[in-house]
Amino acid sequence: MSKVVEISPTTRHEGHSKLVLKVNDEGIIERGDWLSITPVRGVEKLAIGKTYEQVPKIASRVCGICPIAHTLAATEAMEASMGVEIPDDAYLLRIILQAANRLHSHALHDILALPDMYLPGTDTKINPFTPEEPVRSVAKRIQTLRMIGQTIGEIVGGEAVHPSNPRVGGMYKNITPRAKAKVYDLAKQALPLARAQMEFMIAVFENYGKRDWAEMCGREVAIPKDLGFHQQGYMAADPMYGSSSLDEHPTWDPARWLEVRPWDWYMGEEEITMDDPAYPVGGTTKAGAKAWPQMQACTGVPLYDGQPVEVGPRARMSIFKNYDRKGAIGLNIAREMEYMDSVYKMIEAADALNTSGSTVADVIPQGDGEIGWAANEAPRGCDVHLAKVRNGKVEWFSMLVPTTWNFPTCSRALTGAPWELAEVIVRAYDPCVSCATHMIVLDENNKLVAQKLLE
Amino acid sequence: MEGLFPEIMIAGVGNELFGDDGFGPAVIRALADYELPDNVKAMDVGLGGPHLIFSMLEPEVTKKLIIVDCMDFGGKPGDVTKIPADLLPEGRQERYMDAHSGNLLDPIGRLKGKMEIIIIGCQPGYIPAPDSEDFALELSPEVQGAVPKTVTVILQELES
Repeated sequence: MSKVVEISPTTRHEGHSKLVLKVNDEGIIERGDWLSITPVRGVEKLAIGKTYEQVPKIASRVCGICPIAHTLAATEAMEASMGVEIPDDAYLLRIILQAANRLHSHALHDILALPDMYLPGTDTKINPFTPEEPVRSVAKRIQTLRMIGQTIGEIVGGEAVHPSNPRVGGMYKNITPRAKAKVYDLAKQALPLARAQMEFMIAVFENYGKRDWAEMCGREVAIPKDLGFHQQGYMAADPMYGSSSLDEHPTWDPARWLEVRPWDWYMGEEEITMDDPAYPVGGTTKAGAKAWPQMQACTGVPLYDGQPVEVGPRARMSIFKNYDRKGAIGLNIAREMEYMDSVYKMIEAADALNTSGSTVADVIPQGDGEIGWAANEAPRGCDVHLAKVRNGKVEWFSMLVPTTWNFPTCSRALTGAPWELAEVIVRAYDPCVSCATHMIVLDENNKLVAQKLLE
Repeated sequence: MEGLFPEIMIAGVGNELFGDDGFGPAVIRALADYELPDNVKAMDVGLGGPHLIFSMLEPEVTKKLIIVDCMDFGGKPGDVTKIPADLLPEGRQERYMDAHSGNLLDPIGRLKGKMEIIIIGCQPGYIPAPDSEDFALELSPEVQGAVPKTVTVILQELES
C-alpha cells in the first residue's frame, strides 16, 4: 500500500513550493505532485487599465530574481499588440541584456545545485562556502561570472536588478562607445571562466550520474540511472532570445496553449502517513497531517498540445541543437552548455552594435486591442507574456512564467525516483516561484529588535 | 575586475506593488536628486537584494552597506529607525533556505563583521497581505512623509 510523504517547503530555489509524494514500500515514488504554494500573483488583474509603459515595470516586480526576463517579455508583448517594430540597435542591446542575465542566473544556479553533488572521486558532498580547494576557486569563479553578468546588465539595462533602459519601442538610450568597449572586455574576461565553470560542473554532474548512491537522511539512497526521466515534450521559442507575434514565422503558438485548473491535475486530499525527521532542513511533514494539492496549488496548469511540457535549457538545446540527454543530470548539463553561448552572444551583439544608431522606433502606435504575445527565453525557460493594448491602455495581460510550465512536467519526472532524491530532480529545473517579501525584525523571543526612533 | 559595487552601497529593498513595502525603492528614487560622492552607489534592489546584490559584495571593496527597507518594529506608520546589523538575530545559514523563507538575515549574517552594515527601517502603514488579491502602488501618506527624513539620515550617514 502506498504511503504519503510531504516535503514542505522545498529549499535551495526561489519561492515557496512543496512536494507531495505517494511512495511504495521501497520508498520509490509512484505519483509525485510538485506544486507552488506561493500565493496567487494577480498581476494580470492589476495590469488592466494601466498604460503600456507601466505594465512592464509592474511585471518586473513580480519576482526578485527574474526582473530582466519579465521586463523584456512584458515590453515585447506590448509592442506585439501595438505593432511596434524596434530598431536593430535596440534589439542588439536587448540581446546583450538577455545573455548577461542568463550568464548570471546560471552561475547562481550552480551555487544552489552544488550541495547535492559530490567532489568527483570522493564521497564528499560539496559545500560551496568551504574555504578548501578546489571548491574555493570554483566559488570565486562563480562570483566573478555573476558579477560580470550583473555589471553588463547594469551598463546596458540601466540598473543591475530592475532594468530601466528597455521601453516600449526599443531602448531609452544607446550605450556609449566606451561602455560598448567595457561590455566587450567584460565578456572576453568571462570566456575562459565560463569554459572552466562549464567543464567543472559537467564533470560534477556526470560523476553524480555514475554514482550508485547518495547520502540522504543519514543513509545511502540508491541513485537510479533514469533519475528524473519523463515522457513529456519540450517547448522553446529560440536558443537565446525569443519570438513574438510580430515575427514573420513565430515559434510559439497561442492556439496550442491551454491552461487548466490545478483541481483537474493534482491529487485530492491525502493524509501524510510517513515522515522522516532526518530529512534536511527540519525533516519532512509529520505523519497525521493533511495535504490537499489540488486545493493548495497556487498556479494554473498550462498545457501545450494538450500536455505539460518542459521549458528551459534542455528544451532549447533539444529543439534547436538536437541535444538528447534526459533526466535531472541531462537537464543540469544542458544548462552548463549554455554558458558559452551566453558569452559569445554578448560579444557578437556588442560587435554588431552601432553606438550612434537610433534605439527608439520613430512611430509608436497606441494599439487597437489586438492580442500580441512575446515568448522570452528566460534563463529558467520560456516566459510568455500576452497583452491587448488599446489607445495606450492595457485591456488584458497574462504571464505564463517558466516554472509554471515546469511544475506538472517535473511532477511526472518524479515517478520512479527514491523520495529522498525528489528535490534533486526539482532543483534541476532551477525553479523560480515568485512572491513578495518584506522585512520584520524580531529576535528569538519574538521581541522587536529596533531600538531608536529618528525624529 | 572592476567591481559593480563601490566603497559605500545604499540598497533600497522592497516591492512597489505592495504599498509601503515600496519604501526602499522610493528612497533610492529620492536620492537621485542628489549628487552622491564617487565612492557611493544607491541602488533599487527590489526583491532580489539578498541573492542578486548582498551575496556578491566584496568586503575588500565595500566597507559600508546601508539597507533601506520597511520594517515592523512596533512604531507608528512613518516612524523611522536606524539599527546596526549587530542587533539583528542570527540568520539560519545552516538551513540554507531560499530567498523568501530566509529573508535578509542570512546574507547579512554572512557580511557581519566584514563591513559596517546599517539598516534604516520605516514602520509601514499598509502592506497588502501577500495572499490577498489587493495591490497598492502608492505609499501611504505617513510613509511617503518619511522619505525625505530618511534621505537626510542617509546623507548624514555618508558624512560620518
